[in-house]
Amino acid sequence: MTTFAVTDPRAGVAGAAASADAAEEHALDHYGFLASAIAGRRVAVQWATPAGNLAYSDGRSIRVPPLESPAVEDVWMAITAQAALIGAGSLHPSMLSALIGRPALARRYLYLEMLRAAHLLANRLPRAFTERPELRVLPLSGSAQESFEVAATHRELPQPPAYFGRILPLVALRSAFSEGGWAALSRKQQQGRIKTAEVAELDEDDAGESSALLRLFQNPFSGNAVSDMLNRILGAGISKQRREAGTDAGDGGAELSVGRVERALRRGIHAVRSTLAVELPNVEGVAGPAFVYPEWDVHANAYRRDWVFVEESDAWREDGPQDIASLLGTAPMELRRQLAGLGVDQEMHRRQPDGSDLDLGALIESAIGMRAGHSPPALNVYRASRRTRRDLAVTLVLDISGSTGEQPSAGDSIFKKQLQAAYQLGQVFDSLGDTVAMFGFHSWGRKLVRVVRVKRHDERWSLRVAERMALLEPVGYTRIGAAIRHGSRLLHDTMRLPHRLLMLVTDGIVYDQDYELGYAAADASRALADARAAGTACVCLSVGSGTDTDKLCDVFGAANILAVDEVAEVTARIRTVCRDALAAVSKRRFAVP
Amino acid sequence: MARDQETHVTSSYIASGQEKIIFKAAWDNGLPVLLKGPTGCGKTRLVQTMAEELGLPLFTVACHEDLTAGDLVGRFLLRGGETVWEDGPLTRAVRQGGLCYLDEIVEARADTTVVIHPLADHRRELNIERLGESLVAPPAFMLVLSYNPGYQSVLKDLKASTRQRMIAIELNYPSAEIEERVLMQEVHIERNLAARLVRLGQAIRALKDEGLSEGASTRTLIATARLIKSGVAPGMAADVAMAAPLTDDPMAAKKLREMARVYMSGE
Repeated sequence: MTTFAVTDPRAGVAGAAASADAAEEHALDHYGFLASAIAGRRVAVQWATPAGNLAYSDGRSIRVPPLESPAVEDVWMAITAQAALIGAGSLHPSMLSALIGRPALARRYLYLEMLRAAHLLANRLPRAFTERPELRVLPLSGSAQESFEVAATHRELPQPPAYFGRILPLVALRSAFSEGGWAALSRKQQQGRIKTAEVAELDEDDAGESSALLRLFQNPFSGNAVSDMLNRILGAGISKQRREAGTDAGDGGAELSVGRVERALRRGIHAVRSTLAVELPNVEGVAGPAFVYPEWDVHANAYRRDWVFVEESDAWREDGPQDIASLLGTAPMELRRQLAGLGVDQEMHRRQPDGSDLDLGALIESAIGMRAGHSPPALNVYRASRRTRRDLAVTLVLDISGSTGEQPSAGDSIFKKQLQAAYQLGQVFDSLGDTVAMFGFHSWGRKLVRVVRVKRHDERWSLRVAERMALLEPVGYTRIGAAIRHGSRLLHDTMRLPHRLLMLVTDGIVYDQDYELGYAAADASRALADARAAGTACVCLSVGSGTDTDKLCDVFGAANILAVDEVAEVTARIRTVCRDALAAVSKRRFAVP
Repeated sequence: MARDQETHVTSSYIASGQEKIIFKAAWDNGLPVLLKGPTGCGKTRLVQTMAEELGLPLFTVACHEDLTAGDLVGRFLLRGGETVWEDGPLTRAVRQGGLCYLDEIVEARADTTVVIHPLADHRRELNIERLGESLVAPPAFMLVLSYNPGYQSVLKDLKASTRQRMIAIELNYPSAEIEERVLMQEVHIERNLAARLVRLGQAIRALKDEGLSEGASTRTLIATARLIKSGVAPGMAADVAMAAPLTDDPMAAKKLREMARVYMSGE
């Protein structure tokens, strides 16, 4: 049993540091599987901040209050309860919007839903949970909707016990924006006109969560709640950024705003995209493009011929090379081991000591030898099919658009994680004898997709690779289809080996001028389909870009995606992903009729 | 097995659906069977049980990537100055009229599986090219294939020409209720403990996108129950027999251990 140190406000900084240590020590990560298994989807478990006294969930994570002396049982019971709510669909946005600002109703709804969830998920809930006397009651409702209806009546219901936690509708809705939470708000709520009667019912608990979002809805002066909210999310500086970008196109100012827009996009507010101008650098003065690619127009259901211009360039950044030495280092041995078996194929070998068949030539030779009085050193007279290494060409395509450079609150940026992953993979493939090429890409509209060479396919692996990586700069946008086509062409026309692997390292945020959402996804899918048809295996690696990989899955197919939080996690699954992708294309080519 | 004979338990497989009836009907009609299902859900157990019930010898081949047609049918070996033919398991099963079980058939290469084609359709014959011999299978002979569509689905798939010769029986982990019965029958544990184990199993199976290749199988539940019966603490048993075999990732193992502890608590 452990006790959690409650910070005394007078203890000052030292006390806060101690409690941070304690929080680290009592991290709730290890409850992740428990919560995810019950919820039926990936759910994180974290300490609640600021401390309340009841656990709650936003549908993606479960927040547990740091109790003064949390019994272990209290912690997992609270987690189980919230996970069960997620698993039973109680936190669905369509239900939550009606609970905003009505805590009493929310508590009654919570009670009814917990009974329903315990019953519905009984087969995968811990017995110690379902055996609780409060939960050994038959549910009063058969669906979340029904629970809501019963909760709205005057029927007497018991108070939910503390371990049920609570439902905070705004918290859950806020995180569910990308899943349609915005749409779930009624039109009136979207326009910012929540009835005062509803708001008046707010108790102290819920006032804490109402925050800027609720105030936004209530603001009578707000002409357009969406844009107003965006201003808050994007920060007040957005219009200034735009002004700057206008006078000095293509500089860091424009990039900064991209980062911010991307951040807003992550929150799921797609509608905004078209309202923000894409600032392009001056295209004139750039040497003629070296490559021209078509692009798939999903609306016309046809290719746009000679549509995208790709130029190759060397890595360069104004502020000189970054210090990334600590990032690169040597790849772990385990990664080497995992990748060693790729590109290996069955081959028939002659003159083997054993095998499925006799090797007649060798047999006759040794028979003659024996009759002539020689005793052969070994009877290598069989033919055997063995797995032997064939040639594998790998092209690593690195997304170096502005969105990857965003600095998260803790840890390295996606950009740095991507560099590290790409470097390790390239190094391992190279040391295994495969042909490796590596380039980064970013774009400013269809007329300028820039491919930054990191390693040429015919170049030995050397310190130069790391030096060029240090000169990469995360700026610009992501025209992913062109990058895939360029990588595929490099593999197919220049490297020309029987096994080809295109590995795209990206944060999954695809955006460029006139290149977004459905159009971009369709173009990328098309580029991948073309590459695969030409016998190139394509996989996508996403490091540290969170769990929003659904869109990537649509484009790449779930089997060809490896999405991890940390570079170290790449090792565990990289082999399966690459092998499946390689096998899928080789099956197509060598299919036995 | 010895225990089974003493108590005259011939059938230890508890059917979740119609699988035993279909299996028997397929045997009656000389049709080969394809068993699909995740690891440890009882594919092999079903075959063993059916072989016992039908009174047939069982020839099992665990298929692997390097398995060749020669490994199934037979091959010439060199003994002294002579070559000697040796029957493979498939040929022996045909000659003796038994049940030939090719476990994890997708692991074998496509060109290997082609040798079973003439056996698996109306001809029911095995051509032994190298002997110039063609064996017609007796009525008692039956071909059973198993495979696990869950993993390596992109990499490995059965050819359509092989699949379409088969009666496909899809197995899955049994429902909670049947799984409890399986545990109680196999290990003779009391219902309460069985229910806890089954819930843990069901919960682990509900984990998606966590990097676990498959969920905890019925086989691992049985192993856990056996350990508990031998006096290992329930939380520990669930950890070593169910959680730890699923992953090598220390963080995932820790999370699974926590699950095991929660589900087995109060025992």
